[in-house]
Amino acid sequence: MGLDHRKGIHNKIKENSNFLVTPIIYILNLPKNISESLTDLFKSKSQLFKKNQELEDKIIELSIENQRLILIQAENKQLRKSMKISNSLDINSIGAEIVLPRVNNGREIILINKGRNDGLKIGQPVINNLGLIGQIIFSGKSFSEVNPITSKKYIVPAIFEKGTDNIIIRGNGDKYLEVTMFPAHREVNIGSVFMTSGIDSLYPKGIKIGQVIKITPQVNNQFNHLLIAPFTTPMAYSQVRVFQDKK
Amino acid sequence: MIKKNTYKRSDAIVFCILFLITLLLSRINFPLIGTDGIMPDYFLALFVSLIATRLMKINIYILFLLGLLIDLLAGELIGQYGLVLIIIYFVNFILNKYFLLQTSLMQFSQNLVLITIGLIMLLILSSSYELTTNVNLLGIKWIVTCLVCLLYNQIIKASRHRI
Repeated sequence: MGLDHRKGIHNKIKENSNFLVTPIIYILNLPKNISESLTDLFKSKSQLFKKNQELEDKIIELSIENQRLILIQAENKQLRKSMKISNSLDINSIGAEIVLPRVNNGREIILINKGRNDGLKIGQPVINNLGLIGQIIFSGKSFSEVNPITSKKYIVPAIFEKGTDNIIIRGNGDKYLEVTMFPAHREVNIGSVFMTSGIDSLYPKGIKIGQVIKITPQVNNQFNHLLIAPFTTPMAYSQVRVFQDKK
Repeated sequence: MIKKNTYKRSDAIVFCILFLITLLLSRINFPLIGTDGIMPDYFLALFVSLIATRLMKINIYILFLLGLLIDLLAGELIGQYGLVLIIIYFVNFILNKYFLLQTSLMQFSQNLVLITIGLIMLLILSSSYELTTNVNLLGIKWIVTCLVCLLYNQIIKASRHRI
């Protein structure tokens, strides 16, 4: 067991024995898939028309937002060029869907329906449209397991939204994240937003992580303990995106 | 020469069906008991039932191999369940050596002891290093696992009667 913990033999064996687990995942997802196909089959024309209308409205909203962002991007590019700052925001990403099961023998897990065959690797960050979800910790042939940001085994380098104070945030194993020793002389308020700093060259810079909900002074008054609520939970949306290597 | 028949084929079929059901159950998030920390340890309940009722008369080597299979399918570390199942087998052997467990109440107590030891061993061997676990949650998990174990016992008894 000690050897396995150090060398990760378990994961290597699991990667090569996917055929044992894949049928179970298929069986568990079968009722959901059947019900979704049946729902799609019996959807009325009016429902589809309504949905189409909603999506068209959404496209118009997004295109307006996109026009504004194009202008900001051009300005940003110009400023980066004049100040000689390297651009670290160009990244590839791939879409995936969260599938069942959500538990494995008492452990909460997040499974996504893309794996090594789709180019996913261990360590790649996973996000949804609200913020950071976690990181891939196991990649099988056709599915991958994600470690959520609230897990005790999760650590991410972060900065404040305004771009100051490089710190390390870790999950507390209970729905929140925490910074155990934040210097007391640095300014922090309830509601301050943290995002990825990108200094680890693993996470792209600027992905929202969470906001401070509680500040507790430590015993020696030199540090504060920050409790951070994540912007998103893994189950908020079934669709996620996995960041791949930089362009 | 008379060859010793160690187990019946029907017992092996019952075991395979129960193992597959357990594998599915361990990945289903039931309401109320599906939360992290409360969810019963289905594999522990199944193997305590198997060892206590002596279904298939599994020996310690096969038990260890089955433990490794569980580690591969649902465990965190290789050898975790293997070791736990060996310990349960050994404790069961000791209990049967010193006590005559005849009534159903005695057998239930035997299951409780085996499950308690199994859960404590799994906690100690956990890869998450969380020794300061929530005792209340662990208590609920223990109760639910015992109930699942009772259910498995009833299923095994029923299958034996039918066969």
